[in-house]
Amino acid sequence: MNPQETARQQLGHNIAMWGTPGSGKTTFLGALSIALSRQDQGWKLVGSDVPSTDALIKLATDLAGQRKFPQPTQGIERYRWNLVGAAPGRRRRRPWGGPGPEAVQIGLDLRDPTGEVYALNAASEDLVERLVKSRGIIYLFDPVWEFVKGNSFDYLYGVLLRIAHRMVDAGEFSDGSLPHYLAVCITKFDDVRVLETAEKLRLVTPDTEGLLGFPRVGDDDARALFRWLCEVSRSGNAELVLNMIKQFFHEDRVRYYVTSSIGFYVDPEFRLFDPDDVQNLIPDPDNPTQMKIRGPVYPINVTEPVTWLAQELAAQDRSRR
Amino acid sequence: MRRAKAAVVNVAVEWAVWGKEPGGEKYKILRCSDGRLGVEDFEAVVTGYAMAARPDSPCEVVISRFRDGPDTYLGLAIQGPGVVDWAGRPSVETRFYAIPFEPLTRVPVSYEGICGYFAEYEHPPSDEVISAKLPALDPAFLAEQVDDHTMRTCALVLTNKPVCVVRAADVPMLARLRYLDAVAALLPYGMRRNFAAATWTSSTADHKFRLYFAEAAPPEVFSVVWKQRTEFPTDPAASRARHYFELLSGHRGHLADLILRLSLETREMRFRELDLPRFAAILEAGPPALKGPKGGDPTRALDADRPERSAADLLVELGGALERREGGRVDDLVQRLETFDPAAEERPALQAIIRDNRLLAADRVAREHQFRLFQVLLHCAFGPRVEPTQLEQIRDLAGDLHPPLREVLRSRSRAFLLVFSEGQRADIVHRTATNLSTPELVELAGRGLLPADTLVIVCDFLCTHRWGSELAGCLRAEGLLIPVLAQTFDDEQQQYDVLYQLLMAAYGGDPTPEALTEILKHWSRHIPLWGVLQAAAAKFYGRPGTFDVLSELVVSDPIEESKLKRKTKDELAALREPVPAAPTIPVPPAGPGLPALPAVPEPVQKRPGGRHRRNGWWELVRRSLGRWRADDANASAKTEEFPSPQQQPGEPPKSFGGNGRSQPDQHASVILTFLIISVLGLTALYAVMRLFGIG
Repeated sequence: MNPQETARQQLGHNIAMWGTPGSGKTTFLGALSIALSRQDQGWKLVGSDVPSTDALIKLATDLAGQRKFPQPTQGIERYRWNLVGAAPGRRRRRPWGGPGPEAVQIGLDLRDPTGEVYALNAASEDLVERLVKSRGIIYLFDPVWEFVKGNSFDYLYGVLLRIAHRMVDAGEFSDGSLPHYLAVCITKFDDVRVLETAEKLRLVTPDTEGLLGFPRVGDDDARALFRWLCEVSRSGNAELVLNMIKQFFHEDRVRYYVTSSIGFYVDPEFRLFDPDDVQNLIPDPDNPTQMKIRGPVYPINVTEPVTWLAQELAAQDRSRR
Repeated sequence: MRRAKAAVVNVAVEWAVWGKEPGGEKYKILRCSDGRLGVEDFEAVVTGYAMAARPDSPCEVVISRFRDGPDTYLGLAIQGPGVVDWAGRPSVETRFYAIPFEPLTRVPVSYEGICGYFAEYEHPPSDEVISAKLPALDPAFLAEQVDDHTMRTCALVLTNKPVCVVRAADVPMLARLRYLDAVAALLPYGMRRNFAAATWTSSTADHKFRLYFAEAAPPEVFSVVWKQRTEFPTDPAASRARHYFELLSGHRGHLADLILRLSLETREMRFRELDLPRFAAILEAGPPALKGPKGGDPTRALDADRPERSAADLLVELGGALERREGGRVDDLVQRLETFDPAAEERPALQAIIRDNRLLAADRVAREHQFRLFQVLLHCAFGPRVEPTQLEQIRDLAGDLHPPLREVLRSRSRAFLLVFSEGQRADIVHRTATNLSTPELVELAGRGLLPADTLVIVCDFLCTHRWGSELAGCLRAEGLLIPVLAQTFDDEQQQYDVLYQLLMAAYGGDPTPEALTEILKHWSRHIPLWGVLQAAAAKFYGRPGTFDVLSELVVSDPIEESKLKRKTKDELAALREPVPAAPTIPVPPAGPGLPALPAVPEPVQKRPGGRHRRNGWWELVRRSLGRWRADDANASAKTEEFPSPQQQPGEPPKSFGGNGRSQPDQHASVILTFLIISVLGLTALYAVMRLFGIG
């Protein structure tokens, strides 16, 4: 345990990000605040301390304001944020003059490691320690990179086995499954190849709740898409990812989401989604070797995994008490 | 004092470059030295102490520490801009240097000194380890960097809680590095074994730094503002910091002396072990040159007035000091014993004192004294070099090879790293083995000093890296490791596998009959592994007719009786066959590695057993005469085993006992006859003695 660790208090539910390098873990976190703001359902994200607040500001402004992706993470970043929601029921002063109901506040203690450490044998001990403590995991599966490189399995298998080993030692593997909640996020839904795959599988429905009518894949269909995308992995090993998730986690503690941190392109002037012009990430005209975010950022399914994990972990805490 | 004034220290520095390739996907070790540390070791350290990239700064520095077995390293990472990655993002490139701490305890160096050496260093095109000449730290220069702010920060660091310096983003990196150096200079040098610091890191990084610069500090660390007066907070930890600060402040005016003195405190010290009295004692205590006999601790003054005393006297007194739990006195005595180098003839007496006073027992010595004390005691008892072969003696002196003693031994010799490698990772054991010579490794294995897992790895290593005649000689000297294999492994199949592989590695892929004789001639069927040894030797020889050589030694069939797998036994069965007319000799694969078992040859018709047995004796005797020529072997075998077409079936071969017998053949027959007559004579004599009731 590092010197900071001893001094730290548990400030919220530990949630860890997991994914290959470049799968968009930090971008996902950067999009979280923007997504909450876009949804306008009363939830907002605030920092729990000065560094975490600064990081939240920087991640969100870089992505939404400057339309650039965050710097690649080195080591392990830790963000302590609070998910603050409107008080349940109508906000009205009580007749006897007491204060109104308090806002719902869910602490998030998010660990965002650099993807490389998931594939390092020697370097994983710190990471495993943190993952063991983080009972919520957001696993980002990048189908585009998996199709190109096919390396998701390399970044999952070793660390997963180490966690299992630790859990066995701690007597928390008695039922043969890890106690963690896992949100599997199939990222880069904004990429036309992913979208078309989903369309061909007839998994896409229009988002009736959103104002823009983005296409979306329901959470129930996300697993089917995930399975299909695993089958077209370059290495053919992605199927093992699916199987390992099935083997190591309780079925009722795993959910699948099809997500995009930047969303589809929306014309800023007309604020309309054009199904024939969806690509929000395009080659930079000034520097064709690099990519740039074309229009405003409309994250898809970014808040859902986080709020699901937070609620499940909060419920678990309550039941323990 | 003398040590700190040395101009430079020569250190073998291993290095690595961590970054991305142009357009690359992920960070990785791009290059590294070909020393003891491998890519995985570097990956672990570099990612463990990674810092956030700072695009606006051309260079930032991270100071870390890590261990590789018993060795502590000081890690220095210099981070600069790297290439653009696949996503168009700028990456950073980190040059990492692993500096062994041990040489730095002789000549302490400053972080700036190390960084200055490597800042301009161009890596050689080859991946060789760097032989660096690092400058010794300059106490006077460091004293100039120390001010009230540095002292307060140091006092906070001493509380074992991380300290973050904020509002220094615009301060040049060199000034921040000097600040880290100045704070570290106020710590005992041995604390640097557990000190990690960074000139910059991300505010939200989940890191292990004790002192670092960042944009903002999280609530669980002490935050100090660059060059602004630090007010100590009110929590209990901070009140300790105030006391540390007062102690340090008492040395204003002679800070160079203080820094020099602290730089000589090179024993490892953990931050959590430090308390106020101990720190006060460190600040006050100094070597005799700095402190006169009339000042300070009265025991020191007493010692100064005493005449020269022998190591034996000091050891006896040490026993008393340990009994009375006088930590300070123990320190003094250890310090004095460190100056002794007892002659070999004195050592038995010193060993007796150590044993009688239980000086090597773990329960008598405070944990912080153990390492240094045991080091000096081992030196007194065994001289500068302690060998694993002395392990029993050490156990006798200490009563038990307890963990602290093991740790000391591990630090004394690489051989002990293997001896105490139980539960160690295979790659570490393998790497340790590379640093030992073949005779050392075989001796360690042969003496039964290695744990079972390590023995397997070492045997594997010997087979893959040290094959050849040297290995054969070493194995013969250690009885082919047969006793230790019998003792270590219960499974005969495992014994067989290891032994066979060793034989293949030692004698090569095309074994000669001499090699087979050499392997077997010193053994009798009374050894525990007789069946396994024969099986391995037969497999090693690996050609039909092998059992001609072996069979006469076999009263029962040890291979059949052994617990080898049926598959192995079946393979060996083919080797029982005599040499066919046109023998197809399977050639076992030569060269390094644990070779696969050779293909099973086609079965041939078996000849009558009695003939085999006589021939086996015959050949063994001939070979033991040492006059067998390899080129004669086949011809001889042909003439003896297979009669010429002129011979009648069942008729003894003409060459067998005929006129054409060679010189060695004649010698052999003489010896055989003599042996038979001797045995018959002795039997007759015994019968006569029994008959007449004699004896």
